[in-house]
Amino acid sequence: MSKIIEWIGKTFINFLSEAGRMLLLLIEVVKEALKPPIKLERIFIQMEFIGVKSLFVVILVSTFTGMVLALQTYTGFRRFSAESMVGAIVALSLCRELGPVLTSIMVTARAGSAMAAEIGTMRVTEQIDALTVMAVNPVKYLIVPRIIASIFVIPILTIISDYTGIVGGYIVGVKLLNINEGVYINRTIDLLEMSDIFNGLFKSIIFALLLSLIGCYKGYYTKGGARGVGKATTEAVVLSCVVIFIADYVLTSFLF
Amino acid sequence: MEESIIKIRKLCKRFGTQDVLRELDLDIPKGMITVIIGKSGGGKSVLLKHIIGLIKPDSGEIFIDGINIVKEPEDKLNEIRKRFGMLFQEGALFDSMTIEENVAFPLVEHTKLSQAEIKERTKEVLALVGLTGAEKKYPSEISGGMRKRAGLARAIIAKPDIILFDEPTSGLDPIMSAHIDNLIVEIQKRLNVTCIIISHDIQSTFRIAHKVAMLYEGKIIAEGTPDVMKTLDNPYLKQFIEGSSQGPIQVVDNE
Repeated sequence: MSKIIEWIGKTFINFLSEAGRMLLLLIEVVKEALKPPIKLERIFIQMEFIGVKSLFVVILVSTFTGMVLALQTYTGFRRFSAESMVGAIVALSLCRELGPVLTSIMVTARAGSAMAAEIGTMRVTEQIDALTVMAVNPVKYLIVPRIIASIFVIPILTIISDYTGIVGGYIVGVKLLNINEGVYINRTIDLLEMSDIFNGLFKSIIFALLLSLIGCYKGYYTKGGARGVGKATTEAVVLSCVVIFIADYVLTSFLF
Repeated sequence: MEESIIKIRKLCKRFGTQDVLRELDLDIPKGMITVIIGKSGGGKSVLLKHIIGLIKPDSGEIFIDGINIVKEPEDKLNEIRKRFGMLFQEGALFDSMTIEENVAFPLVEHTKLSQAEIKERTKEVLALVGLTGAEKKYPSEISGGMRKRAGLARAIIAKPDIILFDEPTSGLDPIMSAHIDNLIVEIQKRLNVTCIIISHDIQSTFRIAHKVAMLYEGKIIAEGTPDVMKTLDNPYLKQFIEGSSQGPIQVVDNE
């Protein structure tokens, strides 16, 4: 019994100390981000990696999500002759929920993991020490550009994801399931409000901050060689995904 | 005794339950090569990292030209760090950059030199370490010896006063080791810098050192010129210099 309590206590303390260290890192990131000189080049390089290179996979995933969403709602809604609502449901689910979440998860898998692995490798091969020795702040040099780039680029990816998802839903709904095109589009436009889109984008900014902070944090505090890098990468992806889903619920219940 | 550029006083550092440095005192003479020897895992790297502020001590003081760096805030510390160059054990080159970009890095970050000037300086130091022609290669494409030389080029490009070397010859063949030694001696003479080298390569140590200090159990147990060190009657030092497994130094660590 006392072992169990000990374990719970230890886990809880570990959790708190990790959250604390992450917050301290975030504070340092903000401080360093505001301190001149600001080098845009590094931010643009990260934007290309996090944004442009994630574009294809985000489009692919959201198109198919839109398509399956149309298919599923159609099957359900036909039972009470509400097929005309399929378009609106697809658009609402995507903009409010699936666009930001799916985009963030895909970026976590692609770029969050890469952040942890790259910064982690730099840690274990003393490249981060080398930066410090050369009087270059590693937080400013490595972490700030990644977090800024994520915050700018993930909302843009989310817009693209919303759009391609809606297009996917339209193709299935109108072209394959023969829902009347005019009704489909009109219902979508009637029911979807600007606030749905903006709240979704706001969520995506928070997710972007979380996933890039976690990826960089896990990499920055990597210990113990190749195995440590592997561990950091796995933990970054798992923790980012969990935190994104929790934050999603919390934000949704407060925002909408 | 000559003028000291670095003075270390009563430096203590503990990791977990292990005392790595115990009230260590050491003076580093200016414009000379000081080699710190000691067994692997004995805290030599930790000592070196203290000198450049990568690790903060639990207690004690480190004076660099009279400034106690232990008490300096990070931005002041960065100004002091610009006086240093450091060669890491594995080179610690940035693997996302070419050799040329790696070597030019300190100049790109901290000076307002034009691209042409930086290129010129880079070419100069690469020639000095014998790496002309490898400019466009990536660190993963060259040998360990070349990586060390590139690391050395990066350490000296900003014309530091003090250069730190973390085992510059470990993992190299004897000929490459001798070559690196010659490079260190040549660079020290040419730039008139202070060099601090940590090493367990005895042959190389006596070839290049002006001063040798032996670290054992977290303290400097013997120091002096190489000639003096050879004559000292210290059983630990003798065993280390002779490279014998018999003697007061235990091979098995009780870490």
